[in-house]
Amino acid sequence: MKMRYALRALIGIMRREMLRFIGQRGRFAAAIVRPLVWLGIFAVGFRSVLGLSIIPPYQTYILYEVYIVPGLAGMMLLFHGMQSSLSMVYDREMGSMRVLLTAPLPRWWLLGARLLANTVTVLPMVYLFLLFARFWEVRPPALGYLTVLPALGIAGLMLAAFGLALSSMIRQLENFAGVMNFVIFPLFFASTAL
Amino acid sequence: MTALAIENLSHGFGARRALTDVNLSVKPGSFAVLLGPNGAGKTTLISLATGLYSAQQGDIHIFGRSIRRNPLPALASLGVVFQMPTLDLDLTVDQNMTYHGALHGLSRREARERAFEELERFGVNDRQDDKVRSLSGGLRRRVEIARALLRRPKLLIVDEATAGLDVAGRQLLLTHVRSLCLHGLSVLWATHMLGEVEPSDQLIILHQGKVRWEGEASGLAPDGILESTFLQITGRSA
Repeated sequence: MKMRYALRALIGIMRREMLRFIGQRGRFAAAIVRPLVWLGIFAVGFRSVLGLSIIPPYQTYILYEVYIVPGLAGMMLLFHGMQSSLSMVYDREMGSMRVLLTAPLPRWWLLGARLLANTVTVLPMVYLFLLFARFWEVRPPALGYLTVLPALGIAGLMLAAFGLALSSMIRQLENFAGVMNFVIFPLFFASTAL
Repeated sequence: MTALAIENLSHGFGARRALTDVNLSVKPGSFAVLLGPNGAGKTTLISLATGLYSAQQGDIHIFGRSIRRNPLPALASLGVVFQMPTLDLDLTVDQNMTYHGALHGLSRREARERAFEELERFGVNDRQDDKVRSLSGGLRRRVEIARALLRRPKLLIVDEATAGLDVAGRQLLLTHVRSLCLHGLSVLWATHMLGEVEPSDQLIILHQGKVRWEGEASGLAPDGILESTFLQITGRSA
């Protein structure tokens, strides 16, 4: 495998995923609106009924909005990971997966590139959400935006890989919604981030 | 060295045998027609030759490289047009081309230059910036073939590519691919349409997963009328 060719393929795959994501305006809008709805409506509602104890790393009581923002960033990664796996199933059904699999590159590289592309696509959205969150007085220190990047990257890769594993088990597009209900919602509601 | 050599290939799905002990070869620079009725096993054979499936028995060599043991160099000399459409509908023609080029190690500039040349040949260069979704079925087919030629393969495998093309489109496509054979391209052209076979073509008749006849098409029907012999071979004569 020539490294230059492999890198071109990686960039090509990332570009395609980015173009597809931006082109799907509904998905693009939903990715940013969903956590904002949680932050703007649910968090404000829960704030009045839920009390939070002092939890490290915080040294004082914090607002529920501040507590939930990392969880909502995780939620964005989770939903994106699952939707990426849906797009893998769609690609397989629509035939475009064949184009990927007949490229003269190792399968592990192609799938790894796809995984990385899925993760890289969602990161700008998470940062956009974190910027919007500043309107709700969620203002982490400037360095925090940088230090959160590895955590977002690793969590994003893990959830995208989970989605990839699921997509390999789902044979038909129609089955996807059912499987997702049994994956996303238990994960989401069992999370301590809520 | 043969462009494509298939040796003792057998494959099945569950209890159903799709291919049984298939042997065939395609000479360099030749136009070989894989002819068979629907369900003969053509698409399975192509899926095996392109490495999408792993053969249960036998081996496939592309310019001497085994698709089982040495798949990457084998795939590097191969261009494929699948029976099933494989273009990304939400991307433009140009984006589809550059994506394909990137998967095959071409830079964006190289891919765009070559894409323009190939699309121009097929008369679709004026649609480069249109989303594939907005193209008719026939135009999409032409784009797919142009895309398969983008990286100038040595062997082109085409699975029923003319399905959905009008007469002029089919003629254009066949003429262009045949002309590429004169410049050294080897072609395996899978079809069920007898009208696409010319007397000088290498003909392989596949039926119920077995090769029933192989040789120059003129040898099968010296009078040039293939239909009755083909129906006889495939056991469908009236």
